[in-house]
Amino acid sequence: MQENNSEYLFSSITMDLSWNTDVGETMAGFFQRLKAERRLYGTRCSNCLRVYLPPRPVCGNCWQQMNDWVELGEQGTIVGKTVCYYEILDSMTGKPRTTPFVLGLIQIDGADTTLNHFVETPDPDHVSIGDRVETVLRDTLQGNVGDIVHFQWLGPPTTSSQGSKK
Amino acid sequence: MVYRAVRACLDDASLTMPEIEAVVTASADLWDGKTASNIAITEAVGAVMKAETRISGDGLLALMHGAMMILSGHYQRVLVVAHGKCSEADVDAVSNWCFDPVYQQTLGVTDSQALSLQCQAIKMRAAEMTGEESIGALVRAPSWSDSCGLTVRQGDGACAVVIEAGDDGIVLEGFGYDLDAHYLGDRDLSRCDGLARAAKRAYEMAGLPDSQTDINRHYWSLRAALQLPPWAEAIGACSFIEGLATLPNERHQIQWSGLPPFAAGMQRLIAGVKDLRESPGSDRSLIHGCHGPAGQMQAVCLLHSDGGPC
Repeated sequence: MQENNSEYLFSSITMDLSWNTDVGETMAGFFQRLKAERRLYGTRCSNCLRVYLPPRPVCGNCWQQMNDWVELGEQGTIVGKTVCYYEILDSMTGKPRTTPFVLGLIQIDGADTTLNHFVETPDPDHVSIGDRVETVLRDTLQGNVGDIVHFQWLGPPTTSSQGSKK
Repeated sequence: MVYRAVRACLDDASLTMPEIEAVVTASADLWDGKTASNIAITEAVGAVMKAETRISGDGLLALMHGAMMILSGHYQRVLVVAHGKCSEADVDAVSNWCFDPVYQQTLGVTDSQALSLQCQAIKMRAAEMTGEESIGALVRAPSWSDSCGLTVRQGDGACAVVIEAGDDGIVLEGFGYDLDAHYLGDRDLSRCDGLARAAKRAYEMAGLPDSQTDINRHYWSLRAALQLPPWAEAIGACSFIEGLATLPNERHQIQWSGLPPFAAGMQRLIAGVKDLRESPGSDRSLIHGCHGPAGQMQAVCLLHSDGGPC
């Protein structure tokens, strides 16, 4: 019987591709306002009055171009969350993110849509839907998504911490 | 860019977005730098809460997909949108990644190299058939002599059209497409058998003979001027040598100023429709689209106008 000397052969490929993606007029407006005013802004559809954050150029429901900018609150409400125990690389730092950590869907006061971002808290297992959070920006803003460091968990809502609803 | 194209399209058709039943888009992930290049345009094309499909290929394939949705009887009116933004990518690096990962990609082959190999093959075929070493010696049209060494620039662009069920106005009477072998060495690059098969399918669908004299204008998605003679041969418009000598002429429309990849076929379609609208009588045009190295994928659409309002 012939001895099987076969071996797997591989073709090693290293991807080295880069793109310069235009952020578009709307996200450019968002970053410019964030950098200049340290405030989050959304875009509002003049038809359905929905406020989008992140801002979008066109309302998906009404197919209406949105040019109205709305200043939003510094705080928001957790409307969805998950606690992650599996270590991942933080794409903004390139380093592993310490586990466990909370990834939340944050509805900033004044917005109708939610941002997904990290919720910083001393006790991830005690974060609940409906809890309040506050936006934490880095000290020196650069006009990109890394300017939002995380959302600081504040705890369950109180009368004074409830954001104004439209 | 995409929103402006869709807006202009609906305004031209006197339609509103709620009247659109389904959306088909064409774009390429690698060129856009996204793993699903339709995610960034969902709102712009009005696809939220609609039947939406994305084709990773030339826009004419998206048009055919939309046409098949209508032919299925399930949809009456479909919006077709194509876009390409090669300005954001390193086209040579991206196109290298489109080749097979074991052989051609590893060699560093790019789209522009494939195009250059194709042009050389066309020149060699001309030399073998005529004994003339120079293409210029075969060319009779002065304008062709000046332009036969040109390549068509790739740029950014977005195109949108609405197609609907019916047989009035400008009718899409036939379409066909064909994917040739991927390996450059598996094909005779001086010919375009894939285009010949695509055209044959379109002609059969339209009930036309393969050798075409009834088509008044051809709208080409060329990357290089030298592709025109063998490709015109493939659709049955003329022989290769005749094409070398006489093309281009007014029957063969070329967008020398540039075409956006993946929106090119749709751009040619819109140009053809606009000309047909101004045509006073019965008229027929062939629209050509392609993508892939050295025109690996070929697509043909046949438009017919009875001269009525549209």
